[in-house]
Amino acid sequence: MSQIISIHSFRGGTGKSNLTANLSALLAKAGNRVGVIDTDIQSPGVHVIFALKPSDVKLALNDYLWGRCRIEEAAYDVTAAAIGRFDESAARPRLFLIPSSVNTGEIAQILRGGYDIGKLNDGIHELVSALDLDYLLIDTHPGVNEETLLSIAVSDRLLLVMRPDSQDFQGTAITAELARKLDVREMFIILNKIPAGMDREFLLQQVESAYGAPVLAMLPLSIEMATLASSGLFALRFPDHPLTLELMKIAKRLLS
Amino acid sequence: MGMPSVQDHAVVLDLLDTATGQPLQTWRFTGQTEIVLGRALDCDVAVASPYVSRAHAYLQNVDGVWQVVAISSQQLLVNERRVALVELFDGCVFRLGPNGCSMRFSRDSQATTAPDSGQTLSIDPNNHPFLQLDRTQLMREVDEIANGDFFQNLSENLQRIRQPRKSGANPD
Repeated sequence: MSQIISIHSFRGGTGKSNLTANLSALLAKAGNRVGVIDTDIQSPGVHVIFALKPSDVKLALNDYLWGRCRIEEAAYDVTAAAIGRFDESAARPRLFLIPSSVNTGEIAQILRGGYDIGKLNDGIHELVSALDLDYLLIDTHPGVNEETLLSIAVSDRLLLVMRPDSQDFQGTAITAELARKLDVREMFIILNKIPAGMDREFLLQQVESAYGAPVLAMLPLSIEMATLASSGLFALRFPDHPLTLELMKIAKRLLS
Repeated sequence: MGMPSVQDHAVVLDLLDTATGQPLQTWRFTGQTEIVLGRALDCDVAVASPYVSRAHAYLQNVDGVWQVVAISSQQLLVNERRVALVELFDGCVFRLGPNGCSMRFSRDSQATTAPDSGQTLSIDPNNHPFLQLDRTQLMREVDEIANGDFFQNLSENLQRIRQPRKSGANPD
């Protein structure tokens, strides 16, 4: 049974793409076929973390949405870059990335012309079956737009990533409320970039009671993560770091 | 009634109960740029703990940012780490020495008429204005999106959207 998981944050800069990439690698490493789809068409970024160069990307999600290719043709096998050596003759683990085009003309075209949002929905399901995925992670655009809402609607689980500040607190509640209206099956909160010295217990209580959803992980503001930002997968580079251990908690919950 | 303070953000320090994390005592300061914490009675925040030094630490405002600086060699503990100085955010908790008491720092945007170093005994466990939801605004924004055509359409087609389609369904 495959699982579709959306990762969303109301505002940018919460560390969502980094978190998505690290989680996908941990899920793959546990022996799964995992796909990451970057629906953040307006400001794609997750490809950087997987060391996928724009020049290597012949076809992207945009090409599929314009009907130029099948969605699986825009999938790139990044298993080696993400988790290192693996047995290529076995079907598992595998990690695929479906990037959005970083070509500004393409981005403008999508923004100007729009596309049939139903096509994205079809693509998500086609991808799961064509690549025989155990997990599909959808890295969504910040804020609430049509892609976000569709991603949430199509997902089995929703991870909301937020920082402990007032704008994130209010904004995340909007997404949580809309997700509830869309009958999302399971919703989790991930608190990221928590400054040292903040009262974690209090924070946990406030967030859980405000959203009525469990907090799956509380990640500290990490200097190491910030330094490594977008230049590799933290969880694999620092397997024993407290931050990685928190990331493992999320992965374990998703694996259960 | 005194004049409203020119500085509309009061500094609030809560002495926390070690067992429950609930505030035992609250101090509120306005218009002060330095606040001394310790065991001595003439401190701005005087706590009755034998493990706290007479003058243990002070808070200072540097260009609008509050930080706490240790005076005592016992230093301060933040997340069980010993530090000599730490910048304070709303909700920060720090301990005065390894065995001392825990304090919670927050900013209160309500103008207060309490005198400087006025000691209040109000217990306010929810004194975190940054973690308050404006429910009225929330429901207004949610309704605005939920009443839109796209959302309505999505809601009506949820069952169809969630059921994986057969691979041959692509008309292309």
